[in-house]
Amino acid sequence: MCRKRRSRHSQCCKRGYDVNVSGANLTETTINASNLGSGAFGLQFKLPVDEKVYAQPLYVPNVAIPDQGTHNVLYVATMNDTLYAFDADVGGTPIWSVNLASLVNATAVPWVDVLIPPATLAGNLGILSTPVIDPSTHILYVVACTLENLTAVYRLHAIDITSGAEPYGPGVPITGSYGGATFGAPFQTQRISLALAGNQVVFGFASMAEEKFDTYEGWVMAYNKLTLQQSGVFATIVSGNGGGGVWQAGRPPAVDSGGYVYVFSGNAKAGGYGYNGVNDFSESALKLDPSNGLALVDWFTAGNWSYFDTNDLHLSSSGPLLVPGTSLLAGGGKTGVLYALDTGNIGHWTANDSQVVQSLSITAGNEILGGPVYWEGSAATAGPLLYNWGANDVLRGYGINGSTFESPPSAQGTNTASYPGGIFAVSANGNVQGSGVLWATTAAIPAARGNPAVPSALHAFNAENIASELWNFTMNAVRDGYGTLARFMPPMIANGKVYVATWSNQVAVYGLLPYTVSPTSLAFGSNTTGFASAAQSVTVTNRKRHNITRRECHDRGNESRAVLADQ
Amino acid sequence: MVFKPTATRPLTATLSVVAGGGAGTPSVMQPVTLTGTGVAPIYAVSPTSLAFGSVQTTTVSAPQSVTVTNEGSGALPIASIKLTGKNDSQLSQTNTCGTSVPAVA
Repeated sequence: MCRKRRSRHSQCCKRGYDVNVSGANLTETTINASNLGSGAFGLQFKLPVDEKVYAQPLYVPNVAIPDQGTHNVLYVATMNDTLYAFDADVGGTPIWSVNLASLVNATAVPWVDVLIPPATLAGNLGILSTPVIDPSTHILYVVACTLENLTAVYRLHAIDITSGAEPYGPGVPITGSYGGATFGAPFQTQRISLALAGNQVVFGFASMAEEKFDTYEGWVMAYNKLTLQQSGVFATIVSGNGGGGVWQAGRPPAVDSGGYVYVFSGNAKAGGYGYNGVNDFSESALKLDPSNGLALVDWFTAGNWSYFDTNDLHLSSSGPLLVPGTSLLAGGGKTGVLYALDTGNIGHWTANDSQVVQSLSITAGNEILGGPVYWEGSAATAGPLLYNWGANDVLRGYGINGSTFESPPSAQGTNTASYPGGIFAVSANGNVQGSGVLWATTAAIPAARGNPAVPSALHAFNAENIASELWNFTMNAVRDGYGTLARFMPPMIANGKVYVATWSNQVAVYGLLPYTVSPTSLAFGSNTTGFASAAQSVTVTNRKRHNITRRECHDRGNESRAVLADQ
Repeated sequence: MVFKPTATRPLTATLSVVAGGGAGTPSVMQPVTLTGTGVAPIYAVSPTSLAFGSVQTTTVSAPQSVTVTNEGSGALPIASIKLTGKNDSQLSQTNTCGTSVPAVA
C-alpha cells in the first residue's frame, strides 16, 4: 500500500496570506536562504489551464477528495471562468475542474464585448480576482464575470473545494445601489481580491475603462458567506458615476482584529468631484464595518486628492497593509508616498496630511503598484522590514522603530524593475534567522503600460539582506523560463514550492530539485561533417534517496549520442 | 556524448533529462543545451602528381612526399590513404598523417 505523504504546513487561503495582507508565509520550513543555489532550485512542472491566470493560486493541504484520497491541493482560477483543483505536489491532470460560466448556461465575457476604447485586451474577462477559501467550511468564494443575455454579469459563487460543487446553489448575481448610485456590471471590473471578515465575504469594484468616469463608481460589497445574500454595499462616490474605483492592483481588503475592513479608492473625475467628506471619497483609505452593512466608520483622504484625480495619481494602485503588532495601517499609490495611519483614528482630510502618523516617499517618486509586504523577523534578521519595489525603481527595505518607518531604507537592491515593479511575497519559518526569502515577479523586459504580454521574471532575495539575490530564472533560463507576466500577481509559496501564475495559460511550479545536472550546456565547437567529435559527459547527481527513473535524449539537430550513466 | 554533424551550419539540440517521481514528488525535466557547428572538410593535396622517372628494376627510387593541408575550421579526419590504380603494386607508401589533421589555429 502506498501512503500519500501528508503535509504539516499551513494553507494559503487568500492573497496576502493573512488578514493583515502582510504577504508573508511564516510557515515555510523547506525553502530557506541557504538552499536555493548551486542548481538545486528550479522549475519542477507546469500546470496547463484554459485561459490567462490573473488570480493568485491558492493552497490547502490534506484535502479529502471523494474517491481520490487526500491531496495537498492547488486551486487555480482562469479568465475563462474555470476553477481547477490540482495536486499541488506532483501536478498532472486536474483532480477536478468546473467552469463557473457553464453552471449558469453562460460563457466568459469576450473583452471586445465590454472594453471601452482605447483599452485593448485579448481573450476573456472571467475570474479577474483572487478567490478566498474558508478553511473551516472548505468553501471557496469566487467572483466570475459571465456573458448573459448579451451583457456582463458578475456572480459570487461558493464552491466546495473537495469536489467543485456549489452546495449553496448557483452563483448569485451581484447588484447594488447606494446613495443614489446604482451598480452597473458592464462598466465595472472586479480586480480586488476577496477577503473574509467574520461571516462576510468582502470585495470591491473599479472601472472597466478609467477614462470613462461617467460610467462607473468604486464599490465595496459584502455577502453573507452562508446564505450568499448581500449584507453590505458601499459606493465610494455617489455623485454622477464619478469614479473612485477600488482595485488595489488586485490586493484584498485588510481586516483588523475588530472585523473592520480597509480599502483604498482611486481617481475621480477631474474637476473637484472626488471628495466632499460626506459621500464622495476618492483617493481615500476607507474603514468599513461589514457587520453593519459596510457602514463607513472612518476615512483618510489625501490632502492633494483633487490633484491626484486630475493627474491619474490614484491611491488605489495598491492596497492597505496592517502592520502586525501595531495599530498602523500602511500603504500608498501612484505618488510613491507611503501613508502610515492609526487605525484608531485614520484621520479624515487635511490639506497637508499633517494628521497622519507618517507620510514617506518609499520609491523615489515612482509608483507603488502591488506593494508593500512585511516580515516581522527579529533583531537577528534585521527585522522588522517593510519591502517595496516600485515601478522603475530598485527594491527597498524599510525598518520600523515601533511607531514609524525609518528613512532612508535600511537596505536596497541594485536592479531597476520596469513597470509595474516587483510584486512580492515573503517565505520564512517564523522569524528564524536564515529562513527568510523575498520573492518577486517582474517584467523580464521593459513593459509598456496598457496590457501587452511580456515575459515574466521570478527572483528570490535574501529577506535579511535584499542586496543579495539568491536566485533568478536567468541562471538557467532554458529550464526555468515560464511564460508571460501575470501583472500585479505575486508568487505564492507553500510547502516547499513556489507557484507562479502566468498569462501563458499555465501555472509554473518551482521547488528544490531531486537531482542536479552538470553542466547545463555543452559546446562542441566546429566539427567536420560525417565524423564524431571528442566525447563530452553530463553528470546527473541524485540529491535524494530515490532512484533515477528514466532518461531521455531529445535531438533537434545534432546527431548526438547520450553516454549518460544513471547514478 | 559526441557530436557527429551531417549538415554544414550551426546546430543545436537539447538533452532532456527526466527523472524523479514517486510518492508525493514530481518527475522533473532538466535540459542540457547542446551546440556545435558542422563544417565541410576543406583540404589540399600537394603536389597532385609525382614523377619518379626511370628506375632500374629491383631498385628503389628516392622517396617523394605528398602533403595534405587542412584548410577548414574543424579537424580533418583522415579516412584512408592508399595506393590504387593499374600498377599500384609497383609502389609503396607510408602515412605520417595519423587519423586526423588538426585545423590551423
